[in-house]
Amino acid sequence: MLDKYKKMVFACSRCGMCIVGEAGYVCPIQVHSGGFDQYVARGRNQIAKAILNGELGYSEELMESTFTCLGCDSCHAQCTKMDPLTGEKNIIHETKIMNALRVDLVKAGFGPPEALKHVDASVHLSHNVFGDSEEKRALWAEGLDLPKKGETVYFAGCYAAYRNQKIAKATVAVLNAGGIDLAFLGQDEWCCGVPQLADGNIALAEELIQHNVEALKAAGVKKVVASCAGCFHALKSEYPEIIGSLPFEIVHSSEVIAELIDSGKITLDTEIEKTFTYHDPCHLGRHEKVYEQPRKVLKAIKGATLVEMSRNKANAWCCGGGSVVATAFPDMAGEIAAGRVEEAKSTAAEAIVSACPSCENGLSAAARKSKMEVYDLAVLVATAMGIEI
Amino acid sequence: MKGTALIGHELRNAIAAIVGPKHVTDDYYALIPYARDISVFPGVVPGIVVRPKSAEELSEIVKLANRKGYPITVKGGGNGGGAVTKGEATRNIMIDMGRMDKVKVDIDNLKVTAGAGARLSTIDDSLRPYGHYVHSVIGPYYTATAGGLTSGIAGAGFGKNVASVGCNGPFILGLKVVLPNGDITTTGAGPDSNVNRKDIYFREVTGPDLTDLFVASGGAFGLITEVVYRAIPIPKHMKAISYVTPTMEATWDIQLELSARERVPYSNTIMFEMTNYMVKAISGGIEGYGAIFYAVEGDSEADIDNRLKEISEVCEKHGAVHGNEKMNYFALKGTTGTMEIVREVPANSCPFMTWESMFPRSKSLEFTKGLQRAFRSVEGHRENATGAGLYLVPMGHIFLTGVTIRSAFSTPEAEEHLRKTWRAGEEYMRRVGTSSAYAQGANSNFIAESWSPTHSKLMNSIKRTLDPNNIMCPGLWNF
Repeated sequence: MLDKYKKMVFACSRCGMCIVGEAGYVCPIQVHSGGFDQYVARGRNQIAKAILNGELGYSEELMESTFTCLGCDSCHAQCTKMDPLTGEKNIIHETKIMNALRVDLVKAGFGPPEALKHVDASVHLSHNVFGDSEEKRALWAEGLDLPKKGETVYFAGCYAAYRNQKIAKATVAVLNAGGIDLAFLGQDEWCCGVPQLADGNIALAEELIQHNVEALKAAGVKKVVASCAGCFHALKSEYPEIIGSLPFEIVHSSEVIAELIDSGKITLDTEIEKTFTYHDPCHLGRHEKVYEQPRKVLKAIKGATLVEMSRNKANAWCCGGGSVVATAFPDMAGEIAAGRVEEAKSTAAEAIVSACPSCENGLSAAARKSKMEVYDLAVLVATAMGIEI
Repeated sequence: MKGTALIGHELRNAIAAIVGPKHVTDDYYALIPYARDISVFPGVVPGIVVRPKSAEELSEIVKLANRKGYPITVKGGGNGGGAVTKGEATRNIMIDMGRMDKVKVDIDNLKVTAGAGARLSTIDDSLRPYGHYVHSVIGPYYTATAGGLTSGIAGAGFGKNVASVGCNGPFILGLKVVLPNGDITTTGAGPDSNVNRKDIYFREVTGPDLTDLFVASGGAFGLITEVVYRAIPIPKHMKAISYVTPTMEATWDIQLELSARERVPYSNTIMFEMTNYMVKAISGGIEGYGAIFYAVEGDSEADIDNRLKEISEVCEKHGAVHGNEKMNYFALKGTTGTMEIVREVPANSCPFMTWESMFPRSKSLEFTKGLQRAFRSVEGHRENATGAGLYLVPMGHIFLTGVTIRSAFSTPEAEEHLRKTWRAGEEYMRRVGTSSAYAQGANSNFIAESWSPTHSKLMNSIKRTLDPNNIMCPGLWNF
């Protein structure tokens, strides 16, 4: 699969823009590892190039550096490599290269790391990353009477369905209050496949993708709303790359909420006098360029003040949970998240807000000791609307 | 080489005891990225890579290498255009200076101390709140390190104000260096130097100062771990202007006339051929041969306006036409090393820089044209020029004549073409009696061949005295 990205790999001129950028160090993994070049894009590309040139074979040794890439796209945001023949900019997508390398590494019999094998086994068996029963996926929606079919489907994702149900409930409540009728696939919603796209299990990823697309088509959907940044990115950008264009639109809940505020369909007038900082989820921000809508939503909350961390938007620091790193290398992910919480504390913020359940989970764990509050955007919006979840 | 099972470096455990196991690696796959910098020359895979956090740790490594007879090579930002130091493949202890990245600002004394691994951008970020900057190169702003720039290019290069304040060398107040025997020394009237005071205030204090021995040495005489720079106040005002010129001759005539004035009217200038894709992209299709960009800085707006007028008169006299707004913007940002240009022009290989035309004269134009002809004489130029790399001729950064080769897609064919072009350029430069400015790896040997016999004898003598076992970057300067 690495062959598919040969042009990108060979285009890397080893300049090092992926190491330090306009907001300082670019790669969380480099900072929280030994810092050698195999942990940053230019080094990873040289290793990939050696493989493509037949100078280096796949081996167990390669697993650590290959599977520690967060897929956060921070290096891609800094990389200025241009195709001199076409003028196309930003042509090197390290996340794609690393995911392809993982696929090839796994095919060669190395990896994924044990923890990811367990995740894959769970997903294979019960279609969620936690290995919980399929029946539990719809528990959060009990009493909401959400239809299984409809023009607008809410895709909750594993985290909101199984671990942080407040997010799913809040999203539905807010959107309903704005006059949007939502359907929910129930048990027919399977894991979006993001973990498998990142852990080298492309066959399982394709199975999940195929299923979800068929289920969404069967629901008669025209628009899918996701509150998980990872699911949103997968549905919007990864699915079409694998199975072609989709007959429905994909939006993130923050985009929809911002629209509802703009159109006056909802107002956030329950006062929350607090200073917030917004953590850009990598899948929502750098991957999909949704930066402004969540901020617009936060600013619309009565009494709320938004302050920015020094690394924000395209320069935002990953929470440490990207590309299954939190599962495979939890200590490193924890250190990265703790660093992000410290950054938030260095502002005047009293709380961090994110728009991804996975980020919320990682940051919450890291924030416990520091007494920093962490909120998901939809939950905060529901509170600001006086909705009890 | 595929699937090579390596036995590991003999000194791994001993080095790990100095820096900690997390900061040393001899895994073969991990060494691959350290085989090359950005140059097109073939790489040298080191035997082990280590990331010390201090001069003290580095000193211990150097002493160990001396005792055991292992060569040491060094990597800063990895932006060397002239290949990596050869040393001895598989035995080399490569020092990655990345962890020595601290920046300490002492604004009262107008100085900033940067670890060798600190990037220019981080040094600038540290100084900006104080309204100051460092006079250093503007190109690889995010990628080049203080140590790499200081040890890797002659005089530590030229910064945005070279036309008005000169090269960067004099703005380096002092260095901390680990010598080949492991001793740590400080140059430039700092502690343990020719004035044993606590801090460095002036470089020109007294007596012989060793700073210049290490600047541009590539690490042959010692490894720079810290650079002390003069901090310079950021001017209050800055304005810019740009012109498109009809011919290369007109470009040169304009620069000759302006630079000959008693007071050079601009602070910064850059000139490019219109074939340069970047200029072409920003000029909006204005017809002409080349583009010249000027920025004028100062504390008086009226004075700046007068100087811009002076520039305009000369440009228009030679048939140049005003650039568009986009070009003026580039002039403002591009000549001053602010973010916009460095994002467009990331680290690139600038192998054919020469100081010959730092201040333009008729010979400079002759030189540039000769260099162009040399490149074009390389077989397959027409077919390979775009695919293999991008030639910017003249790379008129300030008044520096040179050529930048950006490797585009580093296929073996493209790289071979770039290497051939490099050789053609070097041969031409030596034929006309000059040498390129880049001072790393393979290129240092070309330059050393241009040394006079007396200079060569002295340099070899210094090297033998400081590094009798020739462990420090062996292969540089033909040592």
